[in-house]
Amino acid sequence: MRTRGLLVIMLLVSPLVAQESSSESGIEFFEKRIRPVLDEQCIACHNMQKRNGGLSLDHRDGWQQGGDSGEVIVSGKPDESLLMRVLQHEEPGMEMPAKAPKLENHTIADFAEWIRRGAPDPRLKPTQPTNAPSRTWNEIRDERVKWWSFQPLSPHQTTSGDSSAIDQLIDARLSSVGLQAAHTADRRTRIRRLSYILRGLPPTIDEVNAFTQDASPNAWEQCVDRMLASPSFGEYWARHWMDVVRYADTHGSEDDAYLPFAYRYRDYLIRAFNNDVPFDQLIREHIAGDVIAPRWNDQLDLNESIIGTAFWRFVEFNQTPVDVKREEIIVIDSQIDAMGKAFQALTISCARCHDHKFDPISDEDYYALYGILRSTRSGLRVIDAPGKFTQFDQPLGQLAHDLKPALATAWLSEVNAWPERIRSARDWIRSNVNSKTKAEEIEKQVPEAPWTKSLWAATQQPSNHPLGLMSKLTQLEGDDFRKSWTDIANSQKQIHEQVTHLPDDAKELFDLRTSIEGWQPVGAGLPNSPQTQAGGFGIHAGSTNWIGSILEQGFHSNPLSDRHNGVIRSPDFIVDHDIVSVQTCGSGNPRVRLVIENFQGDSLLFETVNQTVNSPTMRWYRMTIRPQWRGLRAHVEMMTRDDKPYVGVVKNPENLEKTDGRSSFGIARVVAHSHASHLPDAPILPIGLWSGSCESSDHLISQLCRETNFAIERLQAGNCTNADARWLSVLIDANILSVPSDSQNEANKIAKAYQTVENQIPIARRSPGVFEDHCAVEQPFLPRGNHKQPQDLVPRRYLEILDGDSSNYAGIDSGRLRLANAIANPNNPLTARVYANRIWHCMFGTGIVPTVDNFGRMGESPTHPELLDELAWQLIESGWSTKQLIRAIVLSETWQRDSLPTASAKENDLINALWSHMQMRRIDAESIRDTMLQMSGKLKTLDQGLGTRVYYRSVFDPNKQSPPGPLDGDQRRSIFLEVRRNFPNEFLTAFDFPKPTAPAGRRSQTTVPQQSLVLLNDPFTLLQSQLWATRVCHTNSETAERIKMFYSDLLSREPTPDELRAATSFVEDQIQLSNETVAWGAMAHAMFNLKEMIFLR
Amino acid sequence: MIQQPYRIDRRAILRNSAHGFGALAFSALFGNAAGAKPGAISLHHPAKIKNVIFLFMDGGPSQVDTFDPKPELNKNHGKPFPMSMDATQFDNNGTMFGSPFRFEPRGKSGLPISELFPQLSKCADDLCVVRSMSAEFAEHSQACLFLHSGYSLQGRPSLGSWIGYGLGSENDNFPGYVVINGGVLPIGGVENFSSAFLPAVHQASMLDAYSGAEPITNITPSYKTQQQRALLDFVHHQDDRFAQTSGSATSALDAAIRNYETAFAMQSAVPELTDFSKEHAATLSLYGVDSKNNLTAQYAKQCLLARRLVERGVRFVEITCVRGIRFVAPWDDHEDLEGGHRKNAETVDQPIYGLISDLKDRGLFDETLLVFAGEFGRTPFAQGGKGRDHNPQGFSIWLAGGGIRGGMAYGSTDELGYRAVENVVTVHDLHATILHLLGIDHERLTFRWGGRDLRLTDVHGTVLRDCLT
Repeated sequence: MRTRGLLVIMLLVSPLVAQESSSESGIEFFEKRIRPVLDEQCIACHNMQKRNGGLSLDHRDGWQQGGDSGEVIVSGKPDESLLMRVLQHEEPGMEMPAKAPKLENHTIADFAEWIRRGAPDPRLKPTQPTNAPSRTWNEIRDERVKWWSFQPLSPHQTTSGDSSAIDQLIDARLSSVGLQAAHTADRRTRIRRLSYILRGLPPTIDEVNAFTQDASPNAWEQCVDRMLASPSFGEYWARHWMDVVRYADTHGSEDDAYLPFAYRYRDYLIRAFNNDVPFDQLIREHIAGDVIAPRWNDQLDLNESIIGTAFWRFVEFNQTPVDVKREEIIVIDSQIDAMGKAFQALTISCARCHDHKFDPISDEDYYALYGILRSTRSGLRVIDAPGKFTQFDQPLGQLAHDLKPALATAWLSEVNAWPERIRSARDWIRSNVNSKTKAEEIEKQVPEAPWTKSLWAATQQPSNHPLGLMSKLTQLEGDDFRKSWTDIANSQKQIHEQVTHLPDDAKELFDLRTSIEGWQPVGAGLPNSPQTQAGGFGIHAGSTNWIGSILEQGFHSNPLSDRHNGVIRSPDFIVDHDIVSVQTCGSGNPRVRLVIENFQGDSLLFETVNQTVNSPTMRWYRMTIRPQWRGLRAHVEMMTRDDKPYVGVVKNPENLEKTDGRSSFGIARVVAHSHASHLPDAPILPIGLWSGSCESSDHLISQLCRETNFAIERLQAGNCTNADARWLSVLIDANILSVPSDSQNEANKIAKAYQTVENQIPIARRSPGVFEDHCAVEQPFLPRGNHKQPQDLVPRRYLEILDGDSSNYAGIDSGRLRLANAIANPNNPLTARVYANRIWHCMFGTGIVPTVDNFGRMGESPTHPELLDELAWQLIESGWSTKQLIRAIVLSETWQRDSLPTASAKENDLINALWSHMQMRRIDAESIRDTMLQMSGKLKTLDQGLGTRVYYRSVFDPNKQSPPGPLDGDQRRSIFLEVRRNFPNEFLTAFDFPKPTAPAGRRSQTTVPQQSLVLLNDPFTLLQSQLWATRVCHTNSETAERIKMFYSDLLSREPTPDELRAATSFVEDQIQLSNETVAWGAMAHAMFNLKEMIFLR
Repeated sequence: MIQQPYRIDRRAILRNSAHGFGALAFSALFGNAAGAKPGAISLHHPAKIKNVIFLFMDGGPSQVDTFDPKPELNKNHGKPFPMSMDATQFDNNGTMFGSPFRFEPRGKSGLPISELFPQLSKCADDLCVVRSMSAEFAEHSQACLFLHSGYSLQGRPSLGSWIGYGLGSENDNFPGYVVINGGVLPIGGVENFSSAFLPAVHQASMLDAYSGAEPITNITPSYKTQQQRALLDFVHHQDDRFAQTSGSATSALDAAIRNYETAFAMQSAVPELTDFSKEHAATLSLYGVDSKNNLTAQYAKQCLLARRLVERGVRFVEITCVRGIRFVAPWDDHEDLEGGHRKNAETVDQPIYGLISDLKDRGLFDETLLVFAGEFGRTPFAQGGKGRDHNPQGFSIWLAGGGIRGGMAYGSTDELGYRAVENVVTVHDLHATILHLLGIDHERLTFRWGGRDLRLTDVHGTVLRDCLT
C-alpha cells in the first residue's frame, strides 16, 4: 500500500516563512492570525473544563503551565516549542488538530512567527468556548472553496495530445528531481498487463504470440484496439463502476429482501462500457434517466437511459422499521452519499447533522438535496418501448367497439334460457343441500351447468359469495320465502341508500371516478383518464372467460388488455385517520398499498397497509394505520402484479421471470375514516329486484331475468350504470355470461379476432428505477439530523458552490434533471477530474488523487495536478469517451514501463509516487476466479441475464437464504454471480471483493492467510484444477508438452529449463504418491498457487 | 525543490493502510522491523484483560425475567400498563405481565437472579449486572448490528474486528477474532462479524461447531500431508524466483509467500483445537458436554471451545446461540415467554457456569472478560397474552472476569422494568468499557475511511468505571 499525496505535499512545502507580517503589532498579529485558529481548531478540547492532554489554550496562563507532555510553547523559540512539532505532524501520536487535516502551511508559519515574537497573548482569563462560530458560514465556505478541487480546470499545459501529453507531464516531474524512468517492459509483460487491466483475464497464447511476433510499428496500437473492442472489456470495466454504485441484488437487513431485476443494470453497464457511451450521458442516465430523452437500444429494443436510474435503488433498508421516517432518512442518506462520492468525490452526507467539518458543504445544502430525492419515487420501470404494447390499441379498440352489440345480442338470447336453467339449479340444490353426503362428495357431482355450479358454490359460503342471497332465497317457498325476501329487500335497499353517501367521520381523499388529477398513471397501454362512464370491457385474458368484467366507473388498467401493466400513484397526503380504505377491483394479484414516507417494504409490520386485490367488482379494501404513522406523509399506489417493487425474500429469482404478464386493476375512491365507521360494498344483485313484492322463487327468477335483460340493454345502449356493471361482472366471473362458444356467432368471431391480436402484446421487461411524479416537496431542515424536530423547509437545489440557485429547481418536478445537468457538466470542476482519476486509478492501481472517492479536504491531494487536469480535458474533448482516455493512457510510455524500478527510483522514490515505473499489483478477486475458469476452458462468453446464485457450503437460515448455487457458478464470470448483502460470496470476499455498503472506488488490497487457504483447499479451486488438468492432458500426451501448456495458458510464457525440470519432478513425485490423474490435477493446482498468477507486473 | 529524500510517512500509511496493521499493532510492526519482538505492543494504558468471550443471547432475553426483579410489575399483573408506551414492533400491546419466574438473592452479595439460572446463580458474586442498558433500535437486524458494530447498518467493523485491528492476534495459527457458530447466526447474518473497511484479516473466522462439516472453511487439506508439502515446496521455489526477479518486491508479495506457511500450520492447529480427547471427563461434565439435553450439550461444546481458543491467544470469541429452538433469534419469545425462556436458559445455564468455573481453575478468569448480552430486552407488558415484544428502552446484561466488580447491579430501570432511568448505559458505553479493559482508549482507536476518522464508538461512549475494580 502506498500513499503518495502526503509525500508530495511535503515536497511542495516551501520554507516556513510568514510574509507581510512584520508590520503588525504582536497583539494585533495574535488577534488576526492566531486567535481565530485557536478558537476554531483547538479550544473545543483544550479549555479549562476539558483540558485534554492536560493542556488549556483558552488563556495565557493555561498554555504557560504546559500540558501532560510538559512545556508547549517556548517563547521566542519556535524550534524548541512542542506546539510547532505537533502542528507540523512531527510528533507521532500527537498530530494536531486532532482528526482534522493539517493546518495550512501559512497558518503554521503564523504560529512560528507568533512564538518568535514572544507569543503575546492578551487573554488573561479563560475565554468561554462558544458554540457560535467566530465566522459566518459564508466566510467559512468562501475560504474552503479555495481548495484545489473546486478550482476550474487549468488550461492545457502542453500542446501535444493524448499519450504524449501524459508522458511529457510525467517525465517533466521525473527529470526535475533527477529520477530515471524504467525502460519499456517486454512485449509478453505488456500484453499480459494490457489483457488483465482491460479485460480482467489473461491473454490467450495465440494473442501473445501474435503480438510478440508482430514487427509492424503499430503492433501495440493494434493490440490495444483489439482488446478495447473485445466484449470482455465491458464485463470487466462495468464491475469497477459497480464497486462505486454499491451494486447488490438484495437490500440487506433482517430479510435481505430481493431487489428484482437489478441484473438489468449490470447488463446495461456492460453494454455501456463496450459501446463507449459518453460518461456525461451515463451520469444523466443514473440521476435522471427516466426524464431525459431516451437512449434507445435498437438491437435489444429497449430504453437504456431508464435503466441507469437503478443507481438510486442499491440501498440497504430495514424491512420492519418501527420508525418509518428514520428509514427514509437512512435510504436518502445512502443515496446522497453514493451520488456525492461517485460523481463528485465529495462526502456530502457528512453534512447531515452539521455543516461539513472540512468542505464547503453546509447542512442546508444537504437538506436542499434531500428534498430532490424525497420528491422522487421508487419502483420498477418497464424498459421496452411503449409502442410495443400500444401498437395494437387501435385495432383492439375497434374490435371492442364492434364486440359490444354482438355480445349484448348473444347475451340477451342467452338470458331467455335462464329461467329454466336457474329452476333446475334450484331443484338440484334443494335435493342435495340437506343430504347426509359430505360436501366434498357432492362437489364432485355438481352438474357442469354454470348456474348450478355458482348457486351451489354460494350455498357453501352464503355470506361471502356474490350470489349468496340468490342461493338462499331460491331454497325457500311460501311464508319462509316471503319473510326472507322482505328482510333482504329492506336490507338491500338500506345498503343501497348507505353507499350513496359516506359516514360522517369519513373524509374522501380521492375520487377517481371522474378525474385522476394529481395521480400519475405510468405504463404503456394504461389509459390517461378514468372510465367516467361504466360499461367498457375489462379484459382479463388469463381467465377462462377472457372478458373479465364490465368496468365500473374509475381508473382501470385493462380496458384493452390485462397485459397492459403499470402503476398509478396518488399525490401525497398526511395520514390522520385510523383507516384508509380504497375502493378497488382487480384480477391476477395486483396490489394496492399505502406508501408511508416513501418506505418500500410491505411485509410484516406493513401488511396492514397493502392488499392483494382479486375481485371482479369494486370493493373496499381497508388499510389500518398504526398509531406511530399518524401525522406522516403517505401516498396510495396501485399496480399490476409484476410491477410490485417489493417482493420480500426471494430464494429462487428465476421464478420471477416466469410470468404470463396478465394482471389488472381498477380503482375508484380513497377514503380515510375511523375504526368505528363501516364502508359497505355496493349491492351486487340488481336493485330493481327488490321493488314491489315477490311471492315465490319462480317469481324471483323471472324478475332476475328481467332485470338482467335491462342491464344488458343499457350496456348495449351505452348507458350502463355501475350497478349494471357490477351485476354483469359477477355473472361473467361466474361464467354464467360468456363469449358464445358457437363459432358461427358474430360475437364469437369478433372475440376470436380480438384474442388473436391481444395475444401479440408482449410481456414487459423491467428494471429497478425511480419515477418523477411531479409532486415535489421540500424537506424541512433537521437540526443535528433529528427528524423529530423538523424546522423550516429548505428549497430544493444542488450544493451552493456548484448549482445553488434554488429558483432553478422550483416547481412540481423533483429537480433531478437539473441536478443531472449540473453534474454532467464540463464546467463542474469535479466531474471530469473525478472520473479521469478513476480511470487512472484502474489503469495504475493508484489514482493521481489516491483517495478516489474523496476530493475534499480530508482526501489526499493530486500528485500531478496538471496531469489530472490534462486527463480531464482529454475526457471532455473526446466527448467523455472512456475508451479514448484508456487508449491514451495505455499508449503512453509511462504505462508501458517495466515494473522494475531504476536505481535512482529505489533510492529516492520508494513508493513510486512519480510513476517512474509500473507498480506491481495483485489482480482482483474476480480476475482470480475468472482466470481459473478460463484455464478449464469452460468460461462462458457473451453472457448476460439473471445472476447465478452463489455457492455455499452450509445454509444456516433456510427461511431466508437461497439454496446454494452451483460450485462452478455455471462457468460464468464473477460479475454474473448474485450479490446478496447478507450472504456474501466467500471466495471473492477473501480477495477483497467490496461490501456493497458505500462507494468503494478503491478496493482494499489485503494479503491474508485465508487467501492461501482458498487457493489450497477451496473446492472451486480444486474443481478448476482438475478440469484444467484434464484439458491439458487431453491436448498433449508428453509430460514436457503438458507442462509447457500449463505455463503458456496461465502465465503467457514458456517454462525455463529449470522450471521444466522442477515441474517434471514434481509431477513424477505426485504420481508416486497417488496416480496420474491426481498428479496432473496437483500440477494444475500448484500453478494456481503461483504468485506469478496473481501478481501482475 | 527537493529538501529531503522521499520517505514513507508512517502515520499516513497507518491511517490509510489496508494492510492489517492498526493504530496499536502498527507500533508492533515497526518495532518488529527494528528488531523488537512481535507482540511488544504499546497499549494506551495497562490492560486488565487479554481476551473477551461474548455470550450473545440472540433475540433479546427479558430483563424482568432474568436479572431485574420487578415486584411492582408482579403486583399489578393483568392491569393496564400505566406509563406512556413507545411504538413496539407488533403494536399488539397487552396488560402488565408479571414474571412467572421467582427471584432470589444469590451469593454473598445477594445479587438477585431468577430461577431460570440455578447454576449461574452460584457465580452471582462474579457478575456485574448492568440493569440500565439501552439500545436505539427495536428491530433485530438493526439492533444486532448496533450491538456488534455500534452502527445499525452494514458497513462498520464489528467489535471483535476493532480489537483485532488494535491488538492483533497472539497466535499466528489462529485469527484474532473467532465466532463459534452453534447453527444460529444473529439476524443480519455474517455482516455482524464483518471487518467492513478494516483490513479483511480482522473479520471473524467462523468456527462451525454445529454441522459436523470442517470447522473452519477451507481448513481441511486437500491432499495428504506429504503431497501437500511437495506442492508447497514446488510453489515456494517458484515464488522465490518470481520475487527475486521482481526487484522492489512489494511487501504484499512477500506476505503472500509467507502466508502459505501460516496456512499450512493452521491446517493442523484447527483439528487439534476441536479435539476434546485430552480433556478430563470431569471437565466435560462441568460444562455439560454430556448433558442429556442436546441443546445444552451443544452449547457446552461451544463454551469449551471458547476456553480452548482463549488459551491459544485468540482475542475475541463470540459464542452464538444453538440451533434447535429456532432458525434465528432463539430468545425472541413473542408468544410463549415462559416456555421459551425456560428452554433458552436451560440451554446456556450449566455451560456458562462451567465456563466461568473452568476459567477460574485455570487462572484465566482474571485475564478474560465475559459479556452476556442480547440485542435488546423485552417489554414488561404482554404482547398478546403470553409473550413479550422487543424493548430497547431498558434491559439487562452482565459482565464478569478481569477488572470487573462482581456481585453488583449497576443502574436501574423504572419500577416496572420498562425504561432505563438511572445510570443509563448505551451500547457505545459498553464498547468503550470493553476496549478500556483491553488497554485501548476508544477515542484513539481510529481508521480513516470515507473522509472521516471513524471509531467503534462514533462520537459517543463513556467507560463504566463504577463497574470496574
